[in-house]
Amino acid sequence: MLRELAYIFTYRADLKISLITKLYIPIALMLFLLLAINSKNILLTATQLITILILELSILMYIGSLKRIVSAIIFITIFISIGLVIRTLSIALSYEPTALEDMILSTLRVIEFFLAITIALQWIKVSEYRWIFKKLGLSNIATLLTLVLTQFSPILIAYSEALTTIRLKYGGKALQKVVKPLIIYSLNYGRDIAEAIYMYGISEPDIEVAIEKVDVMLIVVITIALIQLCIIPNYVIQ
Amino acid sequence: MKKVLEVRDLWFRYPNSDWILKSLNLDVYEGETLLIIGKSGCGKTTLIRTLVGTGVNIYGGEIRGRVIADGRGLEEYSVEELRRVIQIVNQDPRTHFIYPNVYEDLYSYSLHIYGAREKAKEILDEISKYLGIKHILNRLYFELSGGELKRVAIAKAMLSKPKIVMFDEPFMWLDDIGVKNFLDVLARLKNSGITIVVFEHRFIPLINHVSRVLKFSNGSLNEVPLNILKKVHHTLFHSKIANASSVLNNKRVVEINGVWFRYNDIPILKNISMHINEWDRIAIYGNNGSGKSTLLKIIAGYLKPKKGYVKRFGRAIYIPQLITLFFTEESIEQELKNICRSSRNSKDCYSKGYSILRNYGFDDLTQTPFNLSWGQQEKLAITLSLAAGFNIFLLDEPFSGLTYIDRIALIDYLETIPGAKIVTISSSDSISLLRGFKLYKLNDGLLTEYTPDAETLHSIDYNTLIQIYRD
Repeated sequence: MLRELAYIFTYRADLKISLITKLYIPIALMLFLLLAINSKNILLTATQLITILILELSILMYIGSLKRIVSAIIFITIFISIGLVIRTLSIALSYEPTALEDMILSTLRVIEFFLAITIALQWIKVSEYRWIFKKLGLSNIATLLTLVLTQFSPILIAYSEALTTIRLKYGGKALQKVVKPLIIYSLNYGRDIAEAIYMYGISEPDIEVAIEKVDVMLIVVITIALIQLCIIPNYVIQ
Repeated sequence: MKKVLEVRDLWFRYPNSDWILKSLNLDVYEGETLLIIGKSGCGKTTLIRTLVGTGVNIYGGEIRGRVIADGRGLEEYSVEELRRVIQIVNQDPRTHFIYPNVYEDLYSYSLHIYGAREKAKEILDEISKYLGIKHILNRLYFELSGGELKRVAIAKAMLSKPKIVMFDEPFMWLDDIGVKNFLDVLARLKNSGITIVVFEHRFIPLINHVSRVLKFSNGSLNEVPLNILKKVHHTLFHSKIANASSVLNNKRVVEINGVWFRYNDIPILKNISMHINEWDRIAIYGNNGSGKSTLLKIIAGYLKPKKGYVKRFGRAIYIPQLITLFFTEESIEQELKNICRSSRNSKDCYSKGYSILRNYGFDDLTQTPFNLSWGQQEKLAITLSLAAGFNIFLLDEPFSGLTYIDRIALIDYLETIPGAKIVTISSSDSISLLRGFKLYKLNDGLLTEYTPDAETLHSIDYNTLIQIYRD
C-alpha cells in the first residue's frame, strides 16, 4: 500500500502542456465541485458527478498509465467502504443514518475533489511547483517542497521495508516501534542529501509558460463541458 | 606526471570525536585511476568529506593541514569553482536528485553551470551519448535499476567537466549487471583522461582497472602493491558449495509448493517449489528486481502467494538489507527485552537470551545497536532472533555493506547458529565464500539449483586478505 502511495507524486515529464493549462484544469474542477453542484435533484447531481468523474479519469489516463487509474479506483473504493461502514454502524446503534443515495453522492463529490488534487500533483512537475512558489516570493518553502516531493518515493519504500521487519520481529504487536529506526534512517538520508546539495547546488528549473494549440483545445473543451454541466440542470429543473 | 591533488599532513575530526584523519598525505596524478581500500567504518567517507569541504561545512568538523587541488588550496575555491575541479558520486545516488525526472534534473544542473540553454543542452547531449544514458533520460530516477541510477549520477558529476571524480563505494547495492555497467563507464572515463579515485572495499572486480591501490587505516594511507591484491583471487576454487552439509535427522522447517506471485499483474515468482530443513544454509542468487526479497517475505509469511502454499514448521524472521531498520531500542539489553515480549515465555527468553548474547560475543549490553559496524549489526540481529526462539533466518543481502573479511566472518558465524539460514545475494563475488551453502538462482521468476562456472568460483586467499588489512 505504501509503495502504491509513492506513485501518487509521480508524473509524465514528456507531456508538452503549458503550466497555465495544468493549473487551470484542476482549479476549474475543484471550483465546480465546490460551487456548482446542484444538490436539489439527485438524478441531475448524479449526472454532473459522473460526468466529472469520467473527465477526471480520462485526464488521469492521459497523464499516465493504468496504474494511476487503478490507484484512483482503489482510493474511491476505500472512501465508499468507509462511508458504508459508518452508515451500517449508525443503523446498528439506532441512529438515523443519511439516505444511501445522499451518502454515495457526497462521498463521490469528496473523492472527485481529491482526484482533482491528484491530477494537480501528478500533472504539475516538481520544478513547476518550485517555480510557482518562488514567483510568490516563498523561496525557502519552494526548496523544501522540491526536496520533499523528489525524495518522497525512496523514503516511502524504506518505510514499507521497516514496517515489514518490525511486524515480523514483534509479531504485529508493537508497530509504534517502527518510529525510531525510521527517524534514524530519515536523518541519515537527509544528511546524505545535504552533502549532495552542497556539491551540486539546487538548480533552478527552466519553465515554459507559453500556450500552444493543445492547451487552447484542452482549456476550451473543459470550460465548455463545465459551463454546460452548470447550465443544463437549471433548464431541466425549470 | 602532474599532480592534480596533493594532501599534506591532513587532520580531521567531527565535533566531540577523536581525530579520524591523522597526518594524512596523498598525491594523485593526472589521468590515473586510484583505488582506496579499508575496513568498514575506517573513515573512507570522512576522507572524501574532508577533500570536498562537506566535513567542515555540513558536519562542522575541524580540519588541519593542506589540500591542494589543481594547483590551488581548497580554501581558495568557492563551491561553484570546486565543482569544476572535484566531483563525487555518493554511495546512494538517489540523493543526487533535485527533480524526479532524469532529463529535468540533469538539464537544470547543466543550465546552472553553463547559463545558456543551447550550451546546457549540447553538453548534456554529449555526456548522455558518451555514457549511454539517452534512452533513460525521460524516466523517473526511482524507477531506474541500481546500475542505471549510478550511470545517471556519474553523468551529473561529469556535466561540470571536473578534473577529478571520486566514487564512494560504487558497488554498494549493485548486482552483477550493475557492476559490469560501472566498469564500462569507468573504462570510458579513463579513456577521456579524467583522474579517478575509487573508495571501495569490494576490490576484486576493480583489480584490472586501477593503476594504484592505497589502504586507509589508523587515519592514514599506505600503498598496497597491486600484485598482492591480484594474489587474493588467483587460483580456481574447489567448491565446497557442492558439498553442502548434510545433517542426519534434519527436520523440515519450510515447505514451499507451486508458489506464484505477481506485482501489478507482472509475474515475479513462477511456480516456486523448495524444501528447507532445520540446518540448511541456502543462498538465493539473482539480479536486483528478480524477486529475491519478495520470496523471503513469502517464506516469512508477510506476503501471501497468489497461487501455491508455504508451510512453516518454526518461527521465521526477516532481516532487511538496510540492517539499521531492524533495531528499535537504544541498547542491546532493551532490544532483548522487547523481542522477548513476543515469545511465549518472556522471562525464560530473557535469561536464555542474555547468555546467548554473551556466548556470541556481545558482552556490553548497554551499548546502542545503531553504533555497531554493519557486520556486527547483522550478527546482533541474528543473535537476538535466536534468543527469541526464531529458527528460520531470512537475511536479505547481508553482504552488501561488508568487506570480504567481514563476509567470511559472517558466514562462519552463520555456521554456528542453529536453525535454517536463507540469504540472498545479487553479486557473484560472494559465491566462492559461501562454504556449506546450497546455491539457487532466481531468474525470470524461476528458481533453479545453480552451479557457478569456473570464473565465478575464484578463490579468495584468506591469508593474503588478512595480510592486506593488517594494521
